Amino acid sequence: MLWLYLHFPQLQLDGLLAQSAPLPPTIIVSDKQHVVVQLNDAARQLGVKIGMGLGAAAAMSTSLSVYEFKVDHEQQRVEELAQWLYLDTADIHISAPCGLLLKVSNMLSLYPNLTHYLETIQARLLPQNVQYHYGLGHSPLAAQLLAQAGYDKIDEDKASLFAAVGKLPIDALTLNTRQKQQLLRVGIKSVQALLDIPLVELGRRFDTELVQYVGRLQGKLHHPVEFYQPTETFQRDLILLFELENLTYLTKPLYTLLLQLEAFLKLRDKLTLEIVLTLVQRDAESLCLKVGSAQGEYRAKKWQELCQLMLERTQLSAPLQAITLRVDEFCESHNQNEDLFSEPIGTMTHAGLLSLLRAKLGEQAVYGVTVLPDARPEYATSRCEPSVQALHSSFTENKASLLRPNFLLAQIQPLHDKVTLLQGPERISTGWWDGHNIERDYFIAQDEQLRRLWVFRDRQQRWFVHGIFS
Amino acid sequence: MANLIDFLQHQNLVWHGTGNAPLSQRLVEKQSSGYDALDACLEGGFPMPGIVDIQCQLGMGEVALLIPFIRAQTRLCVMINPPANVNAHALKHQNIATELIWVLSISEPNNALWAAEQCLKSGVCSSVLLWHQALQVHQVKRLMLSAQTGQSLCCLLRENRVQVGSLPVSLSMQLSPRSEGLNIKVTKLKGGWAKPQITLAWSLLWPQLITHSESERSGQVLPFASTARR
Repeated sequence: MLWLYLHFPQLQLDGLLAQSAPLPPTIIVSDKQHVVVQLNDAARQLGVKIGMGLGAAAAMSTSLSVYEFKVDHEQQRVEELAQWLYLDTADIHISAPCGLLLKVSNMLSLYPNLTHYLETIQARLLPQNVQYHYGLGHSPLAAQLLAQAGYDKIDEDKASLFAAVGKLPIDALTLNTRQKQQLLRVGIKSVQALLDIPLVELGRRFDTELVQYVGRLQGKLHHPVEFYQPTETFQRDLILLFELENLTYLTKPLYTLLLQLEAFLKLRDKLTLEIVLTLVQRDAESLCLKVGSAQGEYRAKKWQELCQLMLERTQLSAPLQAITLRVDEFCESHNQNEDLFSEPIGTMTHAGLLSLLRAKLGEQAVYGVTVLPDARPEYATSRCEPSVQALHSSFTENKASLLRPNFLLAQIQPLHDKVTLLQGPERISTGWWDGHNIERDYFIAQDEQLRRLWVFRDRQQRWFVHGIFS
Repeated sequence: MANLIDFLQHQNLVWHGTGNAPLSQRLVEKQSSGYDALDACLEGGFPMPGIVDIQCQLGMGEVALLIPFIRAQTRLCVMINPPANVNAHALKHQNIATELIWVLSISEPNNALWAAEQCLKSGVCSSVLLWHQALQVHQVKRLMLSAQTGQSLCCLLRENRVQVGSLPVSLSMQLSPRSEGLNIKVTKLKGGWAKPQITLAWSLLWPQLITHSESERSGQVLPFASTARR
């Protein structure tokens, strides 16, 4: 069985590099020992090396920018890459913390040869802007060792691959220090020397853990791997190079995230109705913005427009450090049943207009009105979700129509002006079942400015204005 | 021959079928307002696309005047910042599909104009009713362009005020109530002549509303007169 291992040595640094090309000398230090774990070329030229302490590295230059190493960030990135590679290859195992193990043998029936397969994988990784080393092997461990050693060669031959593994020093093995020391003490310096010893002999001198390890390295013992199942959510984080105080500068970083979303959705032929944008602020609560599109959308450009409207209304309470784009739900794209021949007027649909208005003005600002079956005028009409369906139904003529004012006052107001009654009374006495019982005699009245008002007299003979015949 | 046609085209002497022109350049159509007297006065009805400036006080039938027009449309009618709650019940009894009504309440005046513009040019709205008091010439021009893009009608409803200069609207009307009906004075009609004032009887605006004076004039007070007439 043939395996391909992809090793990503500097994922966190790659994330920073992707944001701007000329990066100042940058190092990433581990959080506990403060040892340099990743560095860019500019830092390397200054003489900084991996494994150096933070103090020593800082002494090399004053302009060194230092970031803390974040394991969970790298793990998440590896998962994203797995999701991305899943388009080309089926069996992916996420090898913590920063590697991917691909099972090649099964996939070779879909690709003409190994070279072509590898080229496809490499082309897929190219837009992700990550540095990686790869290694092939006939056991998962062998592939991993070669990749971590930076083998980077296409070779299918079992013997030559094992010979390459054999050349590695004992230090390259992923064993603990005690086991490595044990091996060195008995004079085993290279992997080849270790592999030469039969497993039975090895079992006599060393513990079973090491025997298991060597067996798995040779492919003689079973190596359990768990294959990756792609999640059906989309989440991307972006740590900003600089803290932002002005949200207009967020346009570009946000667009890169939206482009990734577009690619994600396009490949699945899905749309999404809502994206969640989390703005991580320094020493303050993260802001969570929900941007909706009523008709479903995948295009980065459209989302950008909607986000822009949302961001215009947003106030930051502290400088912005990172952003997260998250999409949980997807929907199918639905065909719009529109006439092919009639010339379209304008460019929008109902849902498109609704999402545009809501992004700028807020959810509450746009609403529809609907009729409820209630005799009390204030309950007979209510706000509702605006309809986004184009209406084609023929409206049936309603014969027994009542005369009602087009506008109702939000609050019933006492009647002070002198009015002439034109029509009435119409008694509405109902609502005894829910505590809001009314008993009113409604009249249509005309005041001195000849305005038509809808007034009523309650049981206590008090007069109120309820509506306006506008 | 080709030269000649070019020459004539250059002189604007060749009539192009308006059906082939893009929508934005098509001639303004007149859409019936639903009132014969008003249609005659406006030479066919409301201009579409266009901007209708209605100057009136609240509560004299300015919305009722537009109701037959709204009823005839199959696209949306958006009401922006109406002065009170829109009564769906009333609309339903005037045979208007409430699904076609969107209401926008926006506190910021500039946002209201922005929203009006978006609705007008979207193509899904046939009319936008905008309650807005102070409008500038350039704002009206922008609304006009949007209305042309979306083939829609924008009604500006504002109170009677002395406006410095005139706004570039397609139609401007002043409404004032009289005891017998609603007096309409057309102060501006693009491409039309000055018109005498007309008065729409109240019974046309609200057919169900029978005032006492009317019934007295007709000489007989029948308790079920209104239903019989309908």
